[in-house]
This record gives sequence, structure tokens and C-alpha cells, in this order.
Amino acid sequence: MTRTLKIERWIRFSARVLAVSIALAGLIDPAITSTRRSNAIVAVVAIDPLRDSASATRVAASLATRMRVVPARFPRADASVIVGDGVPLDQEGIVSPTFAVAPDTVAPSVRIVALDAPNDASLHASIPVGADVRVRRAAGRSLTVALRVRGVLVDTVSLAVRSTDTLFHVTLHASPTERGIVQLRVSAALDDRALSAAPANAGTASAQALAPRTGLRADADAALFVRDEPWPVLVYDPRPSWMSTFVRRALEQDARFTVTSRVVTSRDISIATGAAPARLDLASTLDAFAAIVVGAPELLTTRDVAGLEAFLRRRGGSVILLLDQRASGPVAQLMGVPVLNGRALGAPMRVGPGGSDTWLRASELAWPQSLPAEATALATVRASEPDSARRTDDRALVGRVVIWRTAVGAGQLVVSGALDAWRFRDVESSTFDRYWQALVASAASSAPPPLIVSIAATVLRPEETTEVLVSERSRVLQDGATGAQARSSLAAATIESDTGAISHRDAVRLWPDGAPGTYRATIRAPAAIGPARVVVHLDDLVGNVSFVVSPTAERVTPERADLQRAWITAHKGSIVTESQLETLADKLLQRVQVAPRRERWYPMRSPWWLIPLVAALSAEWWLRRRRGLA
Amino acid sequence: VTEPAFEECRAFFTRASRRLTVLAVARGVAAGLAVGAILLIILLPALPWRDSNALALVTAVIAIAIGATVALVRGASVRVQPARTIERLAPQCRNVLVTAEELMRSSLHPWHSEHATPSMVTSERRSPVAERASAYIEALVLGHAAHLCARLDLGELLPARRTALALGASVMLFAISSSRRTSPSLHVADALALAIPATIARVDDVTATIASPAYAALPTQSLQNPNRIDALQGSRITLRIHSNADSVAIQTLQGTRTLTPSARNEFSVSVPADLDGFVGIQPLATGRSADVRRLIALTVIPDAAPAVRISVPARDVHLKDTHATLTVAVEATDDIALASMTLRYTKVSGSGERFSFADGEVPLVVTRASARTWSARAVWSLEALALAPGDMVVYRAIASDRRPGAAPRESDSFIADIAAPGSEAIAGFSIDPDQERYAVSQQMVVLKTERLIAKRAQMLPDSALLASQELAAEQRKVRAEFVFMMGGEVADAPDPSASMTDLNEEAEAEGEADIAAGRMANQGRIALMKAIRFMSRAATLLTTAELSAALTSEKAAVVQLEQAFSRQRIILRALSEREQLDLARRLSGTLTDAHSERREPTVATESAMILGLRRALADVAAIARSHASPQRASTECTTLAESILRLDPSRRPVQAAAARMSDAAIAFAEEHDLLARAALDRTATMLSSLLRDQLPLSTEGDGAATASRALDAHRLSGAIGDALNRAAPSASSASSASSKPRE
Repeated sequence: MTRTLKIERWIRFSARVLAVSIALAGLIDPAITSTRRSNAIVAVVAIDPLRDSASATRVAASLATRMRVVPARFPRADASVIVGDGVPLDQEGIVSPTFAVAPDTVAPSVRIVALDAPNDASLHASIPVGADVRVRRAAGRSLTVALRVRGVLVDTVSLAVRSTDTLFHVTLHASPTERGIVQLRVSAALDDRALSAAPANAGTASAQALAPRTGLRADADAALFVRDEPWPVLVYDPRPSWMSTFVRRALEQDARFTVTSRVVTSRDISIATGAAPARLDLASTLDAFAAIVVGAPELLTTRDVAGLEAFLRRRGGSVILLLDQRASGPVAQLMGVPVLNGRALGAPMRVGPGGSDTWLRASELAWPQSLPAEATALATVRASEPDSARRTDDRALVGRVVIWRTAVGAGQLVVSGALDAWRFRDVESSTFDRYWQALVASAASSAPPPLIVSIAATVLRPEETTEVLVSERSRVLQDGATGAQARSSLAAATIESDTGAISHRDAVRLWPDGAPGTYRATIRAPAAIGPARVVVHLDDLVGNVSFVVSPTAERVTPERADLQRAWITAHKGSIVTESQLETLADKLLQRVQVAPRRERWYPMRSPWWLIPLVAALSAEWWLRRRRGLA
Repeated sequence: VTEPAFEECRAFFTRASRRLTVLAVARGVAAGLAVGAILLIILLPALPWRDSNALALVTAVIAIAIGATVALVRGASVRVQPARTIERLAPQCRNVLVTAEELMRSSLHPWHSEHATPSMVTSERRSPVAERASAYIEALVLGHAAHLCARLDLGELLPARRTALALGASVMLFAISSSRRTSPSLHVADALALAIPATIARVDDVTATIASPAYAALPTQSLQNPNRIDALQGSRITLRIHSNADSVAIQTLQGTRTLTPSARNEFSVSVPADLDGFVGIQPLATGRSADVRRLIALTVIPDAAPAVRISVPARDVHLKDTHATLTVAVEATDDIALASMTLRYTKVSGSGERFSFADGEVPLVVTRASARTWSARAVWSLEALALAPGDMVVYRAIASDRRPGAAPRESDSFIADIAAPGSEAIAGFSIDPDQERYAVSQQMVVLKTERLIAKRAQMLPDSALLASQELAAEQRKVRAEFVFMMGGEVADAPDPSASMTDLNEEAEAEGEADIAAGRMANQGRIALMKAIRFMSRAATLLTTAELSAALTSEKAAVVQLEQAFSRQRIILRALSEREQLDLARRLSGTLTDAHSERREPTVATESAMILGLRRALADVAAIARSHASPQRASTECTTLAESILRLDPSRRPVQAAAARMSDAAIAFAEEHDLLARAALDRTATMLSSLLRDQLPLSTEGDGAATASRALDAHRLSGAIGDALNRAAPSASSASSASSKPRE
């Protein structure tokens, strides 16, 4: 009996001690530090919290059983998983390796990922507008891409979709009808009805309501400034040249050019049209021209060549040298081609750019022994119809560069070695006029104006902000020797909108932007809908750029899949879709190297301690009650 | 219960019940068919498979089934208790039949058991009538009932005539309504249109009948409501217009004329197909509004000239003798029909300055594969032409088509010549080069004379005389060239053995009076004759070594030759105004007078087509953006359609754009806004495509890059190029790099 009491007392004491010990340990909350290999820590980040949070929760739940998941950016994580389509703008706190969980694309979709439209164009030309359209999950359907100018459909292209993921490059054409800024809208639709749902006044709120964003249709807007001002072009011939004469006549027929010419017919005697400068060695007289076409360039003097080089480097203009015999003399230095090969062919051969519908024909050719550095081939000798009947040495010329372009400073120098192309200018044998019109137009358009004003987006929503960049040509192109003098100009811009009765004007300060002569400003679009422009005043220079304010402006949706793929690959990860989520944990564990780490842990923070605590207290109380002590 | 009376009553009630059932079913079927017919009338035009006969059949079956079922269900009680119906129709029965029927039912007679439902039987068993009725009364009632049944005629009580009529009418109505050709619904609008006076003057139908010219013998073509008419030139287009307008204005490029109706709502007009253009049909009405103008593009297809060619031998032939036979094959085609084909020749005989020409025709054997394609063959013996060596025959085929007044078309001419003795080259030898040598020019004679005058002082007299006589010979040679050019009118020397350069000066001098008198009033001819005369004088003077005088005559001859072959006579007619030679400076003036010149720059002007297309496209955009009333938009579209068509009436894309614009006008007039805007879109797309074909393609810079970025890119490219070019000379001299483009 005594022995039983002793045992019972000992048990009661032990239970009491155990309970008190647990309570004390809980109060003390001791921390224990140890080195051990624990579960990997993975940070799960939603790229767009509003859109991707649900997916992120599903991803976290699928990983939680095999690793520790932190549902936020965590620099100490072993890996990161981004959820969504694209790349996070802020990449701080996202550690490598990084995996991505992309949403499944199950429904057909179409997106305009890029739009290539010029900011300004001539009224007298047809304007190509390129669009890259990504179509997914729509094999067997047809894609219709349409271009609207001021709400009127002007061009459509229909294409058959043959694979599940296709990127189409479509070129549409617009023909402007009046000068000023016009809004272009490119629409791509997998369903003709979706496209036809856009009424003529597309771009308005009602139009948007009629054409809901179902994924079967995508729109992108651009603005185009149509100008009627021709490019000033100077044609200068040190002696009469058939080649130059007929190129000049081709340009004179094109309303995009104002041609000024001077043909030196004898010593101190010349025929000039307009205000043609007497010489080429005075750079200031050449500044008014965007391009200079030179015939018989072998007769240019050293001073003429120096003037042309100054025009190229300081004006940023374009010079086109039309050889009609193998050039020598000072101009060879400007061309950067010490040796020109030449040959008279047995029969004229076709000369032109590959894949183009414009070409020349020539029977006397000159080509450089080696192309100048950074030169671009504009026309090569093409294999043409009766090549089998040609002389062997003529056939060997196929592929030779006959017309090339090279950069000289900020300007462009074009050299033509199609010596007698003028002889084959009949429309039946070549596109002589169209070729030279296009080439000179391209050269003249690249010549910058005195004040270059550009805007990041040409179609803005009301009160949307964008950036304006201003470059002062003379300061940007000044070289170190001549432009040493610093100048502190005060640049300012005004934003003007004129939509009928409402006229609005805001002043904006332009701030220097690193390089000399460049300024930058952030502008806010007017609230008034319609055309607007930024007018920049810099000393006595005035420049402007136009844009359109539209409440329904649509932008391209950049191609994010490729960017994401590249970014994830660079971060040693891979992409899985939501339907492949069960494979993500395995891929993570294969990639993640979890190193043993020293960890501090708190054993008393486990709720399981409540069980022995309650059990000990209950046993102790029960034993005392049994003995009548409680 | 007496069995005969009971049986008689039972038979009567059975017959009555059966007749009631048949009549009810017939009425139900009639009603069902009537409802079905009404549904077809309403719904048939809207049904996509309305042309199918199965639809009518299925509808009929369903209508009959539903009608019969409803009739049977509704008439069930009537059929079970026919006595009540008969009592209602024959009041003189005084409920005897009803009582008899109840008594018969209460007796659980087999007749009743056949027709009564179990519930009825149960209820009737407890009927107080049955319980109270004694056998006597039952027999009495049944007896009276049997007596009545014998007197009653069910045909009179329950007539079937109306039911049969209703059924027949329903069947007919259904048959009519189910036929798509005679469905009244499809003609309701027409009936309304006839019944209600139209408020808008419109052109309903246009029938164009194209009668080709008689010579073409093409079948008459008829077009219904055409947008475009293609007609052979010279055709007659008759337009029959069905319109409710008071009058119709017909607009063409030649003007507008107003038509009055030739019959009720019928107008007729004849339009000649002589020029590309259009026909606008504008309905006119006083006191009413008019519909949009209908525009029909008119393309006139000209009758092409026949194409004829000599397929054999298709080359010049040289014959060795005059007995040769030439085989000639000729082919000719025409777009309509050929009328004739001949082979004509010109015999050229003679030599020197005496040529004679004789025309003739070679008989052909013509094979007519079709009216459009002919071929012919001739085996032509040249012996009959009596050709001499050196003669030639120039032959060509001539074909004409059936178009009245059309000029015949000739093929290329070929030559068959008879070789002259010695003129044929022997293998390995060439023809005498003197025949190919060009004569010495008069200018050269002047030059040689001047040189001879300069050297005369150092020469012996005999040598100078000899040289002068040689010059005289050359002068005569030059003169002979021009004499030959004049056609040999200047008589040759009488001595046949003399050289051809020895001309009869006297005969020439005799004709000088005619020339001087202006009887041969041709400035070129006069100048040339004077030149020849001066050459003759020069030759005479050179023969006697009078060099200075001869030089004067020679120069005078040069002046006359310049007058004969220059000015507006020959050269300047081939030159445009811009490239006209400045005669005042030709071979004249002094170098010191040369000076620089400044001209006005050329201003490029765009073609009327580009301007018109651009204006039309802008107008389409303006209409699309405007919020004008549909009528006004319709009018603007009609006007614009005409403007578009005027740009180039014969061009198909222009015609198509004008047609779409007309569609937009019609859609606006009918207030179909979406259709109108779709038509505007199509028009704008077509116009833009046309405009794009006329304009150069813009190649202006990189559209994606801003100007600033492009400038930076150019600078960077230039800097890299400069750096590489500075390093390049040594490298390029060491290696002969290819100029092939870098891909």
C-alpha cells in the first residue's frame, strides 16, 4: 500500500514538474541554431497582380507540398517563379533560377505585335504600313487585316492561317488625300464579322462598343503627318551628262521634288534652273538642299569634293554620284573606293535590288574592287532572262554591286556604276524613272531638318503623357574641332490643339538631354480630342511634330512570349504552361541546389506542446482528486 | 325489355355516334389544315427550306393529326351520348331518346358496355332512374324510342355538306399556301404596291438590248438591270425602263434628255455605242420625291482591224533566174469577221535613174476556217511578170474586215529580186565596196577646193589643173547623187556610152525657168534644184581650174542644200518644242557671245487621273464621316459615282468603283446604313488601289525609328565607316576583296 502511494505520489510529482517545465520553456521560448539541409524556398511572383493573382495562388498551392513557398519577391529564395505573360518590369528581388508559368492559350487569338508606319510622308506617294500580326490557335481559319484612314477602309489583306502559332507580316498601303495629320487604324480579325463590326467612324466610343475585344480582333493606331512640301534637290553637272540629264528629268516629273540644277557647258558658262549655287565648295549654299545629284563626278575639283563632304558630315545630307565613265580624280577619295573596275557588256544586263519591282538595265558597268566599309549594296547585277546566251565573262558579273550606299558622317553617299543606264530607260526595258525617283526620295528623306522634333507616341489618349525629343542639327552634327563653343540655349515648346472652336495651348520646358543639342520633355496630351502638335522654339529655329488625341487609341501589343523566353533562358529557368503545372516542382528541384544552411529554430513554438501540458496537468489533478486532496 | 326495340335503338345510336365522329374528325382536319395554311402564309417566306415539298407534306400531316385529335377529344362525350345531340336537333322527341339511352345504359346492355367508360358504368348503376324504372316503363320508352328512331333521318339531322365544303376549302387553301410560286405571302408586297399609290418615283427594272451592227451579224444581247454594258462599236443599245416616274432623264456624256412614257410605266430610249461613257437613269416626278439615279457604265469595244501576215516565205528571197516559182502562204484573223484577202505585188524594173513600177494581184486559194480566221496559199510563177535580171517584186498581203469604210490592213512587205549578173557574191568574196561607199559630200568638195587653192602656189600648173579636174569629177559625182534623189527628172546625157555623171546641162537649164517661175513651187525642191545648178557650175569651173569662182558656186550649193534639208522641212518636225534647236546659233555665232543662262525650274504636275482619284477618295471619306440625312447622302453618292466614272469610263476598276458607289447610294436611299457603309468601304478600297497604282511607293526612311534615332544611327554608321576606312587602305591593298554584297 505504501509502495502504491509512493508510486502515485511520484507520478503526481512528475506530472506537475512536466507541466511546469513545459510552461516555463514556453515562456522562455529558447532558440536553437543548427546547420541542416532544409526544403527549397521558392518565391512566386505574379507579373500583373490584378490579372495573374489567381494563377499565382494555384502555382503556390501546387508547390507547397514539396518546398517552402513565399508568395512575393524574396531575395533569399532558392528560386523564383513568375506567373503570367511577359517579363516583370521591376526585376529587383527576383532571384535565379527563374521559372515562368504562362497561361494556357486555348481560345483563338490575334494580336498586332508591331506596327511600322512612317511618322510623316509625302502627299504624292503611296505609303506602306507594315503590321506584324500574331495568330494563335486558329489553324484553318482566315485572317483579315484592314487599314482604315480617318475611318475609311482603304486596304485589306486576307490570309489563310495554317498553323497554331503564326506570325504574319502584312504590308498595307494608304494613299493620303490631303495634307495634315491623319489617324491610321490597322485591324486584324479572325472573323470577318468582327472586322465588319467597325463602322466608318471607327475610333469613336460607339465603334468600340460595337467591336468588343473578344480576342478575335485586334486594333492598333498610328498617326501620319502628310506633307506637301517637296524635297529640295540639287542636280549639278560639271559637264553635260546624259545620265544626269535623264535622272533630272525623272525627278522633275515627280511632285515630291523641287529640282534645282546647274549644268556647266563650258568654262564659266552654265545653264542653271532656280537658285542653283555656282559652286559646290561653299557648304552654306548647299544647306538648303536635302540631296545633291552629281553627274560626271570625275570632273569635280578638290574644293567641290570638300564642299560635298562638308554637306554630308555637317548637314547630314545625301549625295548621289552618277558615273558615266570610270571615275577618277578627287571624287575617288570621297567614294572611299580607290579602284573601280569597268566593262562594256555584249548585251545590257539587269541591275537592281533583289526582290524589288524596280530595276535598271545597263551595258556598261563600273563596280568597286572592294566595297567601302559599312557600305550597303543598293543594286547588283541580276541574272536575267537570256543569260544562257550571254558571254561567259558577262555572266561572271552577276552579283556585282553596281550601286551602293555608304555613310559619310551623318550623311549618305550613293554611287551609281550603271554607266549607260540612261540608254535603256524605255518603260519596256527598265523602270528607270521609278528607280531613281525612289532612290533619291529615300536619300532626301534621310536628311534631317534643322530642328528635329520627335514624339514617342503619335496617338495619345486625352491627358496621357509621352516624351518629346528635340535635336538641333547644327549642334548634334558639329565636330569637336569646329563646335567647341558651348551655347546655352533656352528651349521651350508649346502644345497646341485646334479642334474647331476649341483652341488650346500649353507651354512646356525642354531640358538638355545628355548629348549637346538634344533636349527632352514630358508632355501631357490635351483633353480635347483631335489633332494637336508640339511646336518647339529654339533660338530662331522652329520645329514641330503632330499627334492625334483619341479616347479610343489602341496600341500594339508587343510580342512578349519571345522576350519572356529569352529572359527566362537567361535566368537558367524554363517556361511551363498552367496545364503543365505538375511538372514545375520536379523542374525546380532539378535546378535548385539547396545548400546546408545554419538555421535558428524555436521548438517551444509548436502547438503540439499543448497535448503533454494538458495531459500532465489532467493526470496530476485526477490523482489528487482520487486521494481526496482536491 | 323488348329485344327488337332495344336493338333498333342501339343501331340508331351507333349510327349517330359514328356519324358524329366522322363529322367531328372532318371538321378537325379542316380546321387543322386552315391553321396550317395560315402558318405557311406567314412563315414560308422566312423559312430557308421553303422550296422543299417535304415541308408542305410534314405541315399537312401535323395539321391533320392535331385537328383530328382535338376534334376527337372534344367530341368524346357527344359520341358516347348521341341521344342528347339528336334531341337538341329534333325537339319533337321530347327526351324519349335520352330516357331510352339512359335505360339502355342502366341495363348494362352490351352496347353500353362497349361505349361507356368504367366510371360511367359505375355511376349509372346507382342512377335513381334505373332503380325506379320498371320493366314495363322501360319497354314502353324503348318502344317509343324505336318508333322515333325509325322516323328520324340522320342525314338530315347531322348534315355533312358544310363539313365537306369546309374540308375542301381548307385543303385548297393549304395547297395554295404551300406552293412557293403561288404563295400569297410572296405577293403581298406586290399586291400592296398595286393597291397603294407609290410615293417615290423609282426605276424598277432596266432591260438593255444590244443590237450589234449589221455587218457583225452578232446575236442580239439582252441584259436585265445591268451595272455595265459592253458593246461593239456601232451597236445600238435600247433601254426599256420600267418606272413609276412621270418622266425619266437619261444622262450620257453627250448630254441629258428627258423621256416620256411610251406605255404605262414604260420608257424606252436608244443609245448609240460610239464612245466609252455611262448612262444615268434619273426618275423624275412632280409632287413626289425621286429615287436615286441608276448608273450604267458603258464600254465600247472597237472593232479591231484584221491582222494579216505572210507566213511563207516570210523573208526576202533572191532568185537566180526569171523562171522561178514562189510559194506564198498568208494568214489573217479578225475579231469579228474577215471580208477579203488579197496578195498584191509591185514590179520594179529598170536601173540607174529609170525605174518603172507596175502593180498587180496574185490569185489566192483561200481557206476559211471560220469567219474570223482565214488562210490562203498561192503558187506564183514569176515568169509571167517578164522580169529581167536586176528587177524585183515587192509583195504584201492585204486583208479587210466587214466593217463598212474600214481601211484594209497590209502585212509586212517582202522582196523577191532577180540577181543581176555579177552582183551575186561568190563564196569567199565580198561585194564591191564601192557600192557601199557613201558619196563625197558637197562640204567635202568645198574643203578640198579650199585646200587646193591653198596649195596652188606650190604646185605646178599642170598638177593644179589635174587636181582641179579630179575635183570636178567629184563634184559631178555629188551632183549625180542628188539628181538620182530627185527621181531622174533631169534628163541624162543623150550619149549612152557616156558616164552617168556626164549630165545634159542644157536640158536641165531648160527646166530652170519653170523652177524660177514657181510652177514647181516647193521650197525644198527649188532649193535642191538650185543646189544642183550651182554644182553644175562648179563642176564646169573646176574643169577649167577656175578655183575661186568654183568655190563660190560650191558654197552656194551648200547653202541651198542646207535650206533644202533643214528648217521645218525635215529635222525640226521630229523634235518637241522643248528640244528645238536654236537655228540662230547653228553653225553660227562666236564663242565670245556664249553666256550662262538661268531658267525657271520645272514644276511637276500630277495627272488629272491622280487628282480625280484623290478627290473622289476624299469625298468618300467625307460622306462616311458626315451625319447627313440618308437622302442627302444618297444624292452625294450618286453624284460621286458619276464623277468617278467620268475619270475613265472604259477602265474596268473605275467602273467597278462607280458601281459600288451606286450601291451605296441605293443603300442610303433605302436607309440600310450598314450596307451603305460597307459599299463605301469597298469603294474607298478600290479607289485607293487605283490611286496606289498611279503613285510612286514611299520609301522614306525607317518608319519605326524617330528622326533623332535615325540621325544617331547615321552618325554611328558614319563614324564606324570612317574608322574602318582609315584602317582599310593597308588591308585593301593586301587583299583583293570582292565587291559582292554582304548578305
